[in-house]
Amino acid sequence: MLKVSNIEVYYGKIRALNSVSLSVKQGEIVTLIGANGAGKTTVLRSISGLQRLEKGKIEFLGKDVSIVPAENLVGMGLAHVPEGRRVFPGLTVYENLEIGATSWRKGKACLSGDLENIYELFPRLKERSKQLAWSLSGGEQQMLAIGRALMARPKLLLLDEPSLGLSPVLVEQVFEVLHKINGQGVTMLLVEQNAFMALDIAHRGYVIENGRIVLTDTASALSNDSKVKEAYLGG
Amino acid sequence: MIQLLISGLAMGSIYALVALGIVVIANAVNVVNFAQGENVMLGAYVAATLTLTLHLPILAAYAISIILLALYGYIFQKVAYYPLRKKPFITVVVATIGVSMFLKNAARIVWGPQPIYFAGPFGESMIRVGGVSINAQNILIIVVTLALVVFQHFFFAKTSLGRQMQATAQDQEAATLMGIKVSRMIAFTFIYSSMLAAAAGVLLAPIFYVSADMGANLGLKAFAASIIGGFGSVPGAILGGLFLGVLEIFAAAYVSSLYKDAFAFIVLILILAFMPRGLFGEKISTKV
Ligand SMILES: Nc1ncnc2c1ncn2[C@@H]1O[C@H](COP(=O)(O)OP(=O)(O)OP(=O)(O)O)[C@@H](O)[C@H]1O
Ligand SMILES: [Mg+2]
Repeated sequence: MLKVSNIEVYYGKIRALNSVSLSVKQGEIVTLIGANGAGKTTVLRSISGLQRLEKGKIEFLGKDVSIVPAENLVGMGLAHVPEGRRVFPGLTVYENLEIGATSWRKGKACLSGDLENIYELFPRLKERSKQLAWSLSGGEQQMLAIGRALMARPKLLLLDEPSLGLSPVLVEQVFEVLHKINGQGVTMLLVEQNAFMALDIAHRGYVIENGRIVLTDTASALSNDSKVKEAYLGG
Repeated sequence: MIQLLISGLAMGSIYALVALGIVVIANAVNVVNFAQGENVMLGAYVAATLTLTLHLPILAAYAISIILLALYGYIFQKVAYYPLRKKPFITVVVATIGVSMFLKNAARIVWGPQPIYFAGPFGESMIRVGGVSINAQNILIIVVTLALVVFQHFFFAKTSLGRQMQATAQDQEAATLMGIKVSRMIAFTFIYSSMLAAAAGVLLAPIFYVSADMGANLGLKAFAASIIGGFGSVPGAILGGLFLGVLEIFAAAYVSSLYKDAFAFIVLILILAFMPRGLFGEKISTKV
């Protein structure tokens, strides 16, 4: 479904990604784990077209999307839940969700089916539907960011550290929902520093260090890998 | 008393319209557009030329002026904003100052140094209400401003395009990820702001004379009004504009008309000193 081949990305003169390759197959949850500053966010931003590639190629659903503008990718079925949630603070929960459907919605097409699904996954959002997004708690904002991305009816969902800043209970809840969404047929590429949780729900994983993929395997093999254990799972 | 209040509210409505144009752009792209006053001047000159030289009916002149300014707004952002959009705040602001000086000098060359007078749709007619007679143009200004404010509220809150423009103003990158065509939304914002300027210009012309210098003072007052109301806030820009208009007229009538402009800036300084977020504060909810 997604194939990233040897991409290189620079910030000014500094190379952030060095020949990164990875792939995600239909139906999978693939996780990309790594320390602060390893380049995880840059990988996702490159895939969704927010970051210019210096070299390499990205294919999505068999099409070369390396130079497709970011705003067109979401219409092709690629949604990105960005780092830091980035909900629209001055819009209500409902309006945020509604705007998530921009890429496919024509005129006033009915959204109630999509909304119902999201409210079922995140009942909190339904309770808060008329509230402005800035007034939500961090956890609720994360739910909204995920819900908003789902409104785009994605085939592939990119998630950038959905557990960041959430209490352990909330992290559990969010990951449970991600598992459910995957069961509904949404493929995922999940970036996490919380390697424990990520490897728990993922099928396969990649480890990134200093802008390079250093390791890839099934999630269970990675969980048992001594280097991964030491570096990312607290020994 | 009533007459004063009405003329104050009329002038205040104009400030409010100009301030709105500034605030809409500031919220969308974080640029303070110092050419907004000159955009008003341009709208007024275009309407004056259409009626006085080309003898078009006045309402047609109003409409054409607003349409031409919409086109101008598109070109303005293509020339003065888009190429500089990744540059620091100050670079873009300086570019808008450059545009304002260009427009002012161009106007002087095209339309000459003499101020032009052109009457509104009601000429000089007065409306008598009870015992007082009120300039019909002032009523028109207030009514049209009110209608525009209601329209703007409805447009941004209820239409899909308005929502997309709001989302773009709040977070351009997140808007891109939603599939929103961000550069198009920004162009629309500039177009809308220029149309507001044209509306202010054609409404103002009959009570103000049209001149190359009219924009500078107007732009500054509107900027002051938006700060008085709380910069970035849409209701703040409207209320700040009305407040400033009324204050000026009463200060001119009861204190001294010589220092009318000084009052505006004394109030601005007092507000900045004691209420730095403006009279009505800045609420994120009201950002457009
Ligand atoms: N806009 C930028 N300008 C310059 N350098 C940047 C920029 N964004 C990221 N970098 C650098 O690129 C490298 C990779 O950053 P990236 O944000 O992709 O890491 P990350 O793995 O997502 O980190 P984190 O876990 O902290 O989110 C880092 O060294 C970072 O300092
Ligand atoms: Mg990151």
